[in-house]
Amino acid sequence: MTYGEVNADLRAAIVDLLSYRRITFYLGRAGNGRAPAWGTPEQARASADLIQRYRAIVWTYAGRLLQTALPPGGIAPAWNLPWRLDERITEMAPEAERLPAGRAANTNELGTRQEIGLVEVWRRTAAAAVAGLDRELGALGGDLDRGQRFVLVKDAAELVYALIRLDDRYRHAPNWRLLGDRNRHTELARKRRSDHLRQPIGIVSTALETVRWAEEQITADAYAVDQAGWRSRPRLVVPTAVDHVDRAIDYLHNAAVHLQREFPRALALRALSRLNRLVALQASRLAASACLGECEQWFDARAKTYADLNVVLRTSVGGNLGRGDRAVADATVALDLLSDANQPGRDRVLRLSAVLNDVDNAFGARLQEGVEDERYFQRTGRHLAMSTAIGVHRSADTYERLVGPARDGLLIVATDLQAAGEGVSRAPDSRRALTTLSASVADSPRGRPPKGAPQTPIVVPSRGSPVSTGLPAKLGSSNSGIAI
Amino acid sequence: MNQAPRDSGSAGPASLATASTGEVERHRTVWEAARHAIVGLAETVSWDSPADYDVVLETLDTLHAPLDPPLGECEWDVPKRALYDLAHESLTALAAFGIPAGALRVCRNLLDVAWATDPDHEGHRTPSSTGR
Repeated sequence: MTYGEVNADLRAAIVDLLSYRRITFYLGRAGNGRAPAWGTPEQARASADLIQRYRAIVWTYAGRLLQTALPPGGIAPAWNLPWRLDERITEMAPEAERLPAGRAANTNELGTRQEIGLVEVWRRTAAAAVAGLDRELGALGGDLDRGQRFVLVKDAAELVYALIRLDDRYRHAPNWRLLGDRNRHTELARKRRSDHLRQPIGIVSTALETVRWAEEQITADAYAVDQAGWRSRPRLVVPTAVDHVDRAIDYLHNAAVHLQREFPRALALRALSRLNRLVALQASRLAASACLGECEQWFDARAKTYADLNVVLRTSVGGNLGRGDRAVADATVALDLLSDANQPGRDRVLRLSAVLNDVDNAFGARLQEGVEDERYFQRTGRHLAMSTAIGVHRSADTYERLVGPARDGLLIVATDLQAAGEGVSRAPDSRRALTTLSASVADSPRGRPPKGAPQTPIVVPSRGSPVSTGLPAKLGSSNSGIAI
Repeated sequence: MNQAPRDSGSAGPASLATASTGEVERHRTVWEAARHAIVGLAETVSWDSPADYDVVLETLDTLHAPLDPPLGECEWDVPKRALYDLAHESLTALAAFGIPAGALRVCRNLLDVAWATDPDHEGHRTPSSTGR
């Protein structure tokens, strides 16, 4: 799941809850003196108790969400509103020992479908909150940028506002305790002594002000946070399809999964780069036969990117840490299958482009990791080994850290491959900054995804402007002589 | 200056572990000659060519794993056919250094397949012709 999915589930459940009025009737008691009771008082009380236990979990989620959104390392004055809202949430948090039965909802109550509709909606709300508490919020942690924090603040404030409104609506439910043990409705108004004191003091006005404040600062790209969160470990599939392209897609998926699971040594990375070029050429042929011009262009650009990368990998990059054999084996089988395929149809080509996006993404991530973590090295020449045999120094290859244009060029390729996989193109400023690092780096234009591409969007470069990988033609110095 | 780190401490082909220094140097010279010839061939093919010389290079390097391959570019100014002949001869000569003859035969077959797929046999390789 992603944060966006948790948030959508919560919002859908809250909207359902807000559609319920005359709460006592839905709990089984007589409603407003006219609708007859349909349950016993004990049932109504048990349902109200259960709802309060569910509510405690959702309230905890709202608080944790806001705490996740607050920037670490002290609170700047600009973040005064969400900070105060966080204090209010903490003050009003239901204490476990004061909840019915002295606890919040347990696993059994969260996982058991409830017969009463209203209670079932509360259960859905709490289940979504638990998923967010356990996984998504933990995964978001330190990866948030400023704009994304505003999105989270707004979500949390709106959730708090909705819960307070619901709380007031449930005040006549049997044995109901208002949040924060209030004895009246939410605060009536703000203090009006002077301007600087005219700030929200109660939780409702604070929440509303926080929503308004966050809304003003959210930019469209900040909603990318909806795609973040905990992701299940990708699984291998057993290729069982009869069609060659379908089987190749399965093998390429497995190659991407293996690439995520184990780090490829330089030799395996080189093999994967070679195979990716050939796979892209075959995919381009199939796209042409399916009359998918945009896909064909994208496959061609992909082949060119890997061809440029091959030039550097085969002559300059070494490093024996890691494995990567499984990914190479799967990609090899996929290439053989694609070589035998003909007339695949549009759907298969589009699915092929989607899985190649996954491969690019995994490949780019590993390449970036290998360069940044100094698992890959560049060969810069030869030197005389320290140890001698019969008075003669052996010559040995010299490997050094990837630095300068070599490092920058490889990182740009890695970022480009991942950006294409995620469908996010880099901002012009960051691209310009990267290009200045290497004189040989040129623009790597990326266009719009082909129409109808499933799942992850595909970014297509225009045919007239070939992709430059930003790699220098030569890395280090080549010394073919042998020193003895 | 350092050697590329490796996971295991195994020392590649047995011949390199037990050979004398001169033997090792001769082996590396032949290996390097084969590599440079194949790299030269690979750099002459365009990005959309189905010719795959890199697979020969990978197989050759895998036969020597986990030793660091003598990376480097081909800086010779020679006809492609001369590079092909040199690669062929070097792959044959490596048998004298303990590399299994069967594996070398596979390498030569891969080279022949790539050569047959390559439409340009009469071209001339220069240091600037990188195929890009």
